[in-house]
Amino acid sequence: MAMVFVIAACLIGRDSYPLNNFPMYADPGPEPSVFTVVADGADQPIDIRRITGETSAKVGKKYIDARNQLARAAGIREGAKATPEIKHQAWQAVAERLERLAHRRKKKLPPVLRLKSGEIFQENGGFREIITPVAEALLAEAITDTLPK
Amino acid sequence: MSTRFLPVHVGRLEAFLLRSFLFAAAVWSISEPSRYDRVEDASGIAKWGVDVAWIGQPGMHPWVLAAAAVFGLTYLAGIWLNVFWTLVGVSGLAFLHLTYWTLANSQGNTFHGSQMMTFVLLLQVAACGIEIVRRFREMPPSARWTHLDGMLLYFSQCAIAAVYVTSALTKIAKTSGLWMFESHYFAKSVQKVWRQIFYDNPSIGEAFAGVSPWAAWLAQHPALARMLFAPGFILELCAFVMLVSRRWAFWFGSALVLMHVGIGFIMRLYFPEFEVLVVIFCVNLPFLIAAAFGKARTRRST
Repeated sequence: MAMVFVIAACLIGRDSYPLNNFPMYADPGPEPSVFTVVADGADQPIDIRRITGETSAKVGKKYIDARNQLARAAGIREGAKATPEIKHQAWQAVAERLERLAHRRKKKLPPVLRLKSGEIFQENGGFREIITPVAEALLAEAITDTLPK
Repeated sequence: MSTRFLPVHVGRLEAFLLRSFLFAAAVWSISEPSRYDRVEDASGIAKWGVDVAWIGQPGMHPWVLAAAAVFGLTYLAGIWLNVFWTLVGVSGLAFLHLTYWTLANSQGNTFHGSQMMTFVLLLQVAACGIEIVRRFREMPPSARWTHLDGMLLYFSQCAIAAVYVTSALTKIAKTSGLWMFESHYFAKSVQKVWRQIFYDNPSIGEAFAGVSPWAAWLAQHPALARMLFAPGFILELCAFVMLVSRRWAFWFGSALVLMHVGIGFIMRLYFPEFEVLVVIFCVNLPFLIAAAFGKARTRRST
């Protein structure tokens, strides 16, 4: 009975800690798997985990969550169809949160932070990868540099 | 009357070890200071307006650990005291664990590795509450409701089984029951994790720069890939059979631990808290230790 109760609560609650329907890897299919790349202004991927404590996967999820919230507020149902401005705004917000996390660890992020999205396709017994730029954020130091003196 | 799917008798030494191991596991789960000091996207109790950010404030963590130690020791002492003290101890541990991980899950992304521990603690709180009501109403123990520590073990197993069964049901719902047939596409998921590890720390992750050997093998052998992943799905779906008896819990628990070791080996995805809880409550290491100790004592006395 206790088990049935927890299962029902998890399936109904979906994602409201501790309730969760545990959807990890629940939907394998031909659609591409997505990964996240965080790079600096020179397009060089950075050690995001070492600097902030967050994995690249978590950064990607935070961005999607922020983007979807902003898109919904703007009346766009599907987050993926958000405007470039919304994407930039979402990434700027996430980048600033990452900067705070880095600061707590006494580490520093580069002044320009670029988000890229990678896709892996499984084809003909092998893989094909595409990495596309998503958005760019300027952190405090870079913003100060661009202000008129 | 069949004794299947019913709580088992838990001896004093087994109960002490079960409680000690859970206490240690709960403290281990919150042993690192929280990385977060504010809620970004509220989840769970934070959505209802409960403040959880306090647990991540600078300088708070030593106090959190001290409180966990007090609650944990109260929970342990509860074996010899009134059930009320067990309730106080496990409620305190549940509160700290729930707060700590609600904050971690209120950052715009969900972490799936800590829910099982929270469920175990919350169901133990529920077991204590029911036990207090039963004692207040002077209800005698029955086959379905034996004694407190038997129920703490049974409810913990229920929490663990529920997590696995929920995961399997979600897989069924999301794929219209075709999960096993489509599981060969996991090759790209393995490759994705490989990429993620590389892009976590590209300056030191050179070993993960290319194609994962496991991903390449799985992509080239789709039928074998399905055969490799299918048992894991069946184990998850049938996890409730660990409630049949101690023997079933042991074998099913051992199989689940093996499944996690396999996932860690192939996919580099680790769920250490799940494994620890399965070892404590399903494989039931405390019972094995208590049984070995009991046998050794019997041998000495003969």
